Amino acid sequence: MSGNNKPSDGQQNTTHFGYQQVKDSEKAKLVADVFHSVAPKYDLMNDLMSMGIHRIWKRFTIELSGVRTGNKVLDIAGGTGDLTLKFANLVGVDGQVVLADINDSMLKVGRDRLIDRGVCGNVEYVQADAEKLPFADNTFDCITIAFGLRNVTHKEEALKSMHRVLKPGGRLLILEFSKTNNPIMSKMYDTYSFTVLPLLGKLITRDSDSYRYLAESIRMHPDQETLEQMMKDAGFVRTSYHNMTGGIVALHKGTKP
Amino acid sequence: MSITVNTALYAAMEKVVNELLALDPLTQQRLAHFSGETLCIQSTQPKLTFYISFTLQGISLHSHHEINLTACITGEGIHLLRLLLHKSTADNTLHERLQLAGNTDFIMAVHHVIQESELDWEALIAKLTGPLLAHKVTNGLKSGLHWLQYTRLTLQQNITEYLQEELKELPPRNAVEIFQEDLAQLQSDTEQLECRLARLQKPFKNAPQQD
Repeated sequence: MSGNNKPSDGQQNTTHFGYQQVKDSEKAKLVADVFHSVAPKYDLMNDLMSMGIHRIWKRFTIELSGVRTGNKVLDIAGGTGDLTLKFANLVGVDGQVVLADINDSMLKVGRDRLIDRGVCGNVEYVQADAEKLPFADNTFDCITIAFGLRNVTHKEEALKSMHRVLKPGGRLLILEFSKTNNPIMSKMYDTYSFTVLPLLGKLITRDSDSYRYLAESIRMHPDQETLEQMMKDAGFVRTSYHNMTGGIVALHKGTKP
Repeated sequence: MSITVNTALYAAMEKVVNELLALDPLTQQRLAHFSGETLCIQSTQPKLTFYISFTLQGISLHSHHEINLTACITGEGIHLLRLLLHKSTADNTLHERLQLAGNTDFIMAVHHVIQESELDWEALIAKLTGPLLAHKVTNGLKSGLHWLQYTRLTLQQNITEYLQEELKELPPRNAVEIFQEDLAQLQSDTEQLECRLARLQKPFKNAPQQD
């Protein structure tokens, strides 16, 4: 369930961009525009929107990654480099972390931030599309994608591409917004997402539309079970997921056999 | 406890410990030798498991660990805490009350560093509250811990006395020991008697039968 609709005769594939249906070929540009717009204030907005909890979600992702000295790690949609920063310490000088993002604005912000923090030598920056990862087969010990999969047009293609570049025994971790089963929390979360988030976006980045897209894209993203099945379909085994903060966010884990 | 709360608590504890270590550079330096090693702490009462990974900068605390462990300490929470806090009784506690697994040399080495450390909790609290309040807080914590240990010991003694002396539900230890000794004596006597009987029966069994 990626949200893509197969074309009928003479029509182009369509997909969702938030609640809108757009042509497949247009989604990447629309998502790119969103991230070009929010890149300079991305970290500040993340802290404000999640009240700092995104750091805890990411910390748990690191815990489950099992990354150790000498490993090669790919951080897809790595944005401003929160995960890369931690991974760079864990892999040490013998390892390597590749921070990949399709959006050059985000990649520049991430690269500058990491260099400012003295992280260099074992980190590479690659502008790459998650659906067509420009790496050889069986390259990485671990791949992470945090809050990025929902923006990918063809999620199945992206999962297959990640499966290809992972080493056998390597693990994929997907940290993404998901669905909460608690009706009260769901109601509060809806109110927060569709009123507070666009307002914060307007105040901080002068762009409420991008944050409205964020809220809509979360609702359109596959739920926990569906995403786990998509991982299995892509060839991952030992798949599982951990709900965090009542299921608002889920961390999916899978291993390449 | 939810993953988010759990992870946040470990993150906060990690921050406090690393700030403490920053105030004691010698201990920090000595612990840095264990960089890359992970120690698992398993408390049986209350049930809690966490992992301490040693890094060059200090330690990292977490609730999940996916790669090989160096060693593991298992025991009741109170004994694990005593191991950390009480320098004089630490060795006895370590040997008698806790179970060690994995590289025990590593556990002993970490324990040795902690024993010799001069972690200044008061200085850390003083940074937040000022020296006067910090002194009161640490004194309060110390006497609170002492009171808890004293209360636990007294409670244990009183419950024993109540069950043995007042309710007469449980026999005193010396009565049980005497009973055990008597039982052992009786068992020994019975075995001896069985042997004698067997010896006495032997000639009758071997004698030729007369019509």
